[in-house]
Amino acid sequence: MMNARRFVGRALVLSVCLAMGLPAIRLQAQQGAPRPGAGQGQKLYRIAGTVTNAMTGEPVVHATVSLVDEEARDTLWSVESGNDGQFSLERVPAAKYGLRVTKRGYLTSFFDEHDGFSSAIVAGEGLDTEHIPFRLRPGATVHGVVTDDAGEPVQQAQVLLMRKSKATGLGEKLVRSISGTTDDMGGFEFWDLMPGTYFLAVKATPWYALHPSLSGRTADGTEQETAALDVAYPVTYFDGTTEEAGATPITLTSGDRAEVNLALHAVTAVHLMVHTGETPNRGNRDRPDGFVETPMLRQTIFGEEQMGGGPDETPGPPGSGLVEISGVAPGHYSVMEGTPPRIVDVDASGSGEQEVDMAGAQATVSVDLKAHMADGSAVPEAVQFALTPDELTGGAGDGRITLQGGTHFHSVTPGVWDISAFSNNLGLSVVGVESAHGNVQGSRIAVKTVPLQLTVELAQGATRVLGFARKNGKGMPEMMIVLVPQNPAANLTLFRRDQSDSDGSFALRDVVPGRYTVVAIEDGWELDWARPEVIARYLKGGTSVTVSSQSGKTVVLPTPVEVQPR
Amino acid sequence: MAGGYFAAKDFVWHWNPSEWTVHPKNIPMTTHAGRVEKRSLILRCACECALAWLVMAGWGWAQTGHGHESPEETQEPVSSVSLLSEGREQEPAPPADQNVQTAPGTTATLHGVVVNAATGEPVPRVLVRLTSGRALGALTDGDGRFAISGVPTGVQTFDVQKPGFGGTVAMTDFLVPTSHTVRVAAEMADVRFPLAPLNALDGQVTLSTGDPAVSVGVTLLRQTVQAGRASWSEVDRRQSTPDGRFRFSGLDDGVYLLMSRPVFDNGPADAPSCSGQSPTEVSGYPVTFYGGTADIGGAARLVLRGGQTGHANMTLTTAQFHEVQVTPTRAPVGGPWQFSGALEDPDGVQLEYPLRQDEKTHVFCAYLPDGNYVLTATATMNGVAERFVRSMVREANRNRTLTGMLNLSMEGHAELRLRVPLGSGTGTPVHIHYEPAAPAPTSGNAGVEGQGEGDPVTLAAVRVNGLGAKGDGGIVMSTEGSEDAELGMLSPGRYWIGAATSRRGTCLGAATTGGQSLAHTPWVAGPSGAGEGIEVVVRTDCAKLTLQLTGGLAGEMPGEDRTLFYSVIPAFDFVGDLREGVLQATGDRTARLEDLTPGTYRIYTFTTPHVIEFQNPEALERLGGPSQEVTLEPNGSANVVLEAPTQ
Repeated sequence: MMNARRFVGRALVLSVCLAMGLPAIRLQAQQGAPRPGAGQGQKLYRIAGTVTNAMTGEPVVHATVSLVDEEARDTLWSVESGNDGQFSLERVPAAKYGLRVTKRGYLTSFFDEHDGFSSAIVAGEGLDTEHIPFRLRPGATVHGVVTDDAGEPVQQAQVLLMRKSKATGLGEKLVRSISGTTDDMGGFEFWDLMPGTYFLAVKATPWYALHPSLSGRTADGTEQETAALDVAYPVTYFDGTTEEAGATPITLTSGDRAEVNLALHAVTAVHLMVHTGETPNRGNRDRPDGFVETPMLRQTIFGEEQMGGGPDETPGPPGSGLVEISGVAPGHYSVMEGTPPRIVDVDASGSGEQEVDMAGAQATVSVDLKAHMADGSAVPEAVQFALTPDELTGGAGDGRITLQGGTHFHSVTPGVWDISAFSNNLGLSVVGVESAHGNVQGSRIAVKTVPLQLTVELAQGATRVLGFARKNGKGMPEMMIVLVPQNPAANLTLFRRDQSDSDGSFALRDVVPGRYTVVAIEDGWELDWARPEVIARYLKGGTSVTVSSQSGKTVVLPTPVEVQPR
Repeated sequence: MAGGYFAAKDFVWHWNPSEWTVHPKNIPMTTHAGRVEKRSLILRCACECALAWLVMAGWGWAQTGHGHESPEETQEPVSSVSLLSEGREQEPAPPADQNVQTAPGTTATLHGVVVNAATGEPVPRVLVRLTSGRALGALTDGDGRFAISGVPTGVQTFDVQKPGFGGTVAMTDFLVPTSHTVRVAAEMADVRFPLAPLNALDGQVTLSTGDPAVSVGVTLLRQTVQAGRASWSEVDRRQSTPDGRFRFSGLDDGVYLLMSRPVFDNGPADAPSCSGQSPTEVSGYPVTFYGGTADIGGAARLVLRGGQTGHANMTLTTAQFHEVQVTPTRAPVGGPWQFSGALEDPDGVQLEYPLRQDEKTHVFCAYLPDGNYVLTATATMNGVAERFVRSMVREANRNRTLTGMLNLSMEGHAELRLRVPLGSGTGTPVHIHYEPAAPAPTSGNAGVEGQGEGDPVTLAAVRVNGLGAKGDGGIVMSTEGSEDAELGMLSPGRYWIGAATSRRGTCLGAATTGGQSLAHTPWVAGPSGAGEGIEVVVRTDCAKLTLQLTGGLAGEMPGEDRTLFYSVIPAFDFVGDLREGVLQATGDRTARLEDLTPGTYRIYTFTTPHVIEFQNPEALERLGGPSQEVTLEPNGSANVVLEAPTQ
């Protein structure tokens, strides 16, 4: 009932935005009274069930149970569960409704949620909507204290919590669950967390750190007291390691309250002496003499890029082409400098000075992009384009680059990238990419050493594919429905998913013209469904569908989709 | 040395690679920046510095901490004083940064102790760092003692830092941080740096339903002084943890209020859909002040000082929220109009009950518990959505902003048919008179915000109970080229009106309403948001006052600089702000104040910054510190010599 776009928003709401969840509304009186839409002569139905604690099976009392409009997401009716956890929404007109339960201390959720999809309740003739077992999961909590070498609390430390997710269908990925900063007691607490496997990283700067520039030091050297303060904290992962690969997973089940304390150890900071060179042949920069373009230090934590925030930069003598980056904690970085940027990987280690020669850097290239719509209409305003490391080929190494309203990616590292397009509520997909160099397959581009000019064809997913999931002649709720494009490896952006509703019906939204196969998989939520070799074995049992620009708003599958076991 | 420390409107923030600095807007930067970049008034900045640094470094003129107005001069030390022993100079201290005028390579070791300003006890593990040159510093030992070697002799500034310490004092718009100016010499006595501890406040939220009080919002307000009157402004906000706890830290000494933000029983507060389909009743926890009351008048005050942790537990009781729908009538149609709404209680407390507006009908919808409210609805022509910020004058645009105000009362049932008529020109007239004569017309830049040539008077309104629009009051809407202006609609209540003039050569005269001075008589906004007209006199016979620090060569002695904080307080009816600033023996020893209203003033001096509620006679009486009186004649000028504090 919910498309992938909504999934993103919902996932944020559920796991991140503690303040901005979904509304919780309780109808106090007159709950049996007719509502708008319940017109004369219209047959009315009852939606009822029991809310239980998913962990203990005990009833959840005084939870707010709401019916939500499928399209507008507005709350239509609300009741409170009773002392036995039972709820009953009376006199409901025949329609499809989202069923949502909120209760303080529990994760606000829709019925049978998976990856942000859920099963809507369909009220109508011959459908049992009166025995809904709603298992509500208590939220999990991670809390802890960050301390320094003196045992004192580390304030303002950035705490990053990542969660393993399979929502991309390409295998387990770490996605940001939440981040925050420690308080004056060094404490942090994240709550309303989904069950799952988490990793935690802390990035902080010793509050007392001083990083005198080595290039500007006096003849008698750095003063002793000050040198002792030229320290930094390496990024530290639970349980205390400074190596990302050594991070200990934190496994949370619903309702867990995990205590995760970390001690940070200050180490002597590294001074990176970045030699940018004379750069005589690099571009057409019109720079005043001695002007050095500032190198940028980049670091990734669990694949997320971290910029700035810590090290100081001091230019060397004019004309030297030298920039000193001081206050660098030991660790792995990349230094980016120049126009177009060059990138060099640096393992900052030891103490004192470390030379970084940009002459050995990898050049990045620019990628220009021209977009048009497949149907000849104007390209919508405020389209965002994103280059994502192509996950099927192992990725290009760098994070995602997005481009808003422009047509020029200025520093793309060589590798294979997947190009995608977004626009608010338009359901855009990249349906074709052309390049003079021919290094394109579907929405994937291979970036080498020459700048690329791309022509990108976009299509608006204007069509909704409707169907039923069936098993043994019966509609099956809670099935994972996947719309698989032809040549799936090159068309990751054309995949669509849904979850079948209480009567087995489903709606795959924002589908762009093309030929597809719809498959229904039981218990399929753990599958790497976007991997061609995984989805291939389900295609034979799927249902083919062709969507064209003449298809209109909906395409109804003529026959039900047979459910296949995982 | 023109300028000195004028009121807030004269200043603008500028980036510096490592610090926020303050510069007067109307003084050319190239000639005066060094003088006004008061070391003791440099604001420390937090994490933004890194970004600023990158920005500046990217521009290629990142320096290592010297005044940035003349970087080339800082490359070579001045050799003419290099032969003087121990870096001591014979010439009187020049007013500009002169920490570069030291013998090359002449350094000294600074010894000292850092003590807790509240208890006098030494503080271990404090960072004392040089901020006027390259990075140098040391941590204090277990006895609070430190030694920093390699410090260039001459005038240097040091910052003292430790988490949980370092409260700043807000003087008008400056924050006075934890920095110290020291004349460093080879032979000098130990320095003693006091460091103010910060306070914290924690507490526990309990819900009447017995549910875990997770994710309940609490907002902390602090009493501050605006234009000489106490008012409340928001300091910080938190959300309670799964066990209902919350904690605020880094709090300056002061008086605080705590309030909860609205939540529903089972989740965050929300607004109905406006479609008429949502439930009309919802159960939730209304806004409650610490002390258990719904109104700010009954709120319990929390006094925090001396580095303590206060405790404030709150119990919230569930209540019915009812749906309310308010339709703006006479609402303009068409795309360019944008609508907005704001909700207050009768005391002027901004309430955060979510307000939704239907995109098509512009109907406002909310769930509100029983009580009285003021809803202000505004329609603004797209593109002129100025924010109402104090000391910011908006361009006259009467016909492009329509406002309506509705006083509504929720009593046990939904209110679905309320209306609020929108209109223009429904504010309060403000008449401006010039005495003795109108100022000469100025050329160019007229009406341009920030040029000092815009509206003749800016008004700010603060509720008598200390609440404004989040601390900012109403604002004058003036009409360009005319001296008739309008005070925008304010929610009903009694207000203290403050005023400021912005044109050069003008100063504030009497401000009255109905013949009564606004210095004594609050102005009253009626149910429609308007009140009796306001008369403001702008004088063109303003006076000048020069303040001078005595002390002869005392400023040449090694050791910590003597800093004198002065406040020039009018002893007559006045609705403007006081003049305050800083004099330093080694820095600015003279302050020239211009555009002062003729009259009698008391000049108070302090060795630490003070925040003065000068419109409150009792607060003025309690004020310690020496003071002297001076009377400024129309068009006159006076010189006052201030005694430098002893070390």
